[in-house]
Amino acid sequence: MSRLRQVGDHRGPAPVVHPETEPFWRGLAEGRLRLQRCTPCGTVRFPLGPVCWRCGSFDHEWTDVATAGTVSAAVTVRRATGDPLWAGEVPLVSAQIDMDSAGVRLPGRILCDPDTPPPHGTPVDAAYLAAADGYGVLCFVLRESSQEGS
Amino acid sequence: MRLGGTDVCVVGVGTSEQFGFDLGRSPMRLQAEAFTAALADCGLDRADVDGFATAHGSPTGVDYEEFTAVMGLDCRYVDQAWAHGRWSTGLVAHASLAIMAGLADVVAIANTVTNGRGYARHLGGLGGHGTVEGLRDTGGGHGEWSVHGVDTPGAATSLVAQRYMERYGAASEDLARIGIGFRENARLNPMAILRDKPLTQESYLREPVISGPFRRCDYSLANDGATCLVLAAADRAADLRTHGVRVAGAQSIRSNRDSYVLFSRPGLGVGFADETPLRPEHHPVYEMAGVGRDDVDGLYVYDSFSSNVWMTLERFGFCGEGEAPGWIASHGLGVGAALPVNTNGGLLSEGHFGGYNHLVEMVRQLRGECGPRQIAGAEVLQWTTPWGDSLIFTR
Repeated sequence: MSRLRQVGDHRGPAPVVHPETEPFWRGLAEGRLRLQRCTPCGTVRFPLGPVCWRCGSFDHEWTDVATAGTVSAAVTVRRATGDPLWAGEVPLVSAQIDMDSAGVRLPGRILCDPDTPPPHGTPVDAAYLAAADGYGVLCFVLRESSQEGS
Repeated sequence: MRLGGTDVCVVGVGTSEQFGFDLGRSPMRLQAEAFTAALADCGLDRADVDGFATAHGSPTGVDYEEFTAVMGLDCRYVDQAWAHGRWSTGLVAHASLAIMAGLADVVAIANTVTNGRGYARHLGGLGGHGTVEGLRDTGGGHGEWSVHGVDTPGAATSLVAQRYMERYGAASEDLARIGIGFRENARLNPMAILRDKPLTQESYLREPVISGPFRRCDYSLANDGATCLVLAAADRAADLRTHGVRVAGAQSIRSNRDSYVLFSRPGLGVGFADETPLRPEHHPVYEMAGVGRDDVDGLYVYDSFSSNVWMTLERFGFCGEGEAPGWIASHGLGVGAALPVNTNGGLLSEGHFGGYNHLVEMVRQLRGECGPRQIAGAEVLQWTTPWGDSLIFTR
């Protein structure tokens, strides 16, 4: 699986990390997009959770998943009406991304021009923002710009 | 709804003396006003109330035990849900069941909202992450992901509207028709906070964008005020001064992976489940009430955000998939429309009182008390939400 690029620092509220979910957040800071895969039925799941929603099994392993995805929906948040930490970051683009092979939809910012949030179907690649305590926060970059950068 | 041969009616309704952005009155004061007004409405006394239920507890509202203590009530049935608007159907259904089962004779359902620019600025707040659910591993229930900059219900719901508009080709003008329609309705409601603020396509489009396709008028109001409904068995209602409005049917919130994001609808592909065509659902609320969808004289929708109306119209089959913007353009939403929607002005223009203000309006409409905004001959009114719960009140 391809490694994620660090594309900046996370300036929003710190992720809430606890022992059962730490591999996801730690993995991001190591450039890895890791999710839980059910051992008996193979379903990769999101959101993070202790049980497989499909078969009910608790058995799972953390697995690296493919980092390519397409935009399901993306919006430009122009006003920070919630946490004031976002006031210095708006306008920002945030989205839900359909991951091409893992079969999950993941949330994250897209680091791109906020005046042209990408439409449904736009190819993107996962990346990460470095957060405190050795964690990372998932984000995305447009496929085109990620190729330019590589 | 019927259990043990008993029907339940809403016998009294009341609100705080005013709805507004900053009334200078505490949640307890506002709720006491609404409760007192609802009792006066039906002629019951505090001593008659032996059941109490609320959803809007502290820090924005009043917890049940604070209220019973301050009001001097002696209740043998209490219920308190989570501080969100989504519990309106549940509170009414559970209170009705409690009366049917003999757990209480008279249940008051009271809820209070205050906002950060109103009385809540004097009180403790919720802090960062937008809503407390922003701390969950699964994100917020409206689709918030506070670490990704989508930390408010509005920003999250703007993703719902964005996906809908791209998928079905709806435009900003279509979104505007919702807020404009409810603002027009509000002009006929003296309690509506924005009754004197006309909205047009031109003024809507001049408003700055806040998130995704949403402008300010796509957001419900943040305000202060309280509501109260008093429920009792139908035989008790017959002795009261008001005409009892029957709680004829109910169905709960539907909860599964495709309804996690509350202000989306199944099949849209917002949240955790796949994008699919809209599948027809069975809505038992109609059978329970003994009516059909075509019998509904007025629809009341939880319109915390404008796009909720699209979701609800399609989910309940008032129009087909992707057809809601066209349905609104051709039918209208006003009191003279074939199906009036949110005649009170909705959460967008009367004020955000968790939808309980819609239930108060439904009772007043069924009693024929609504003056210039009265739906002629209203006999069957339906409460609906994008997440699938519903109530039907009948005259």
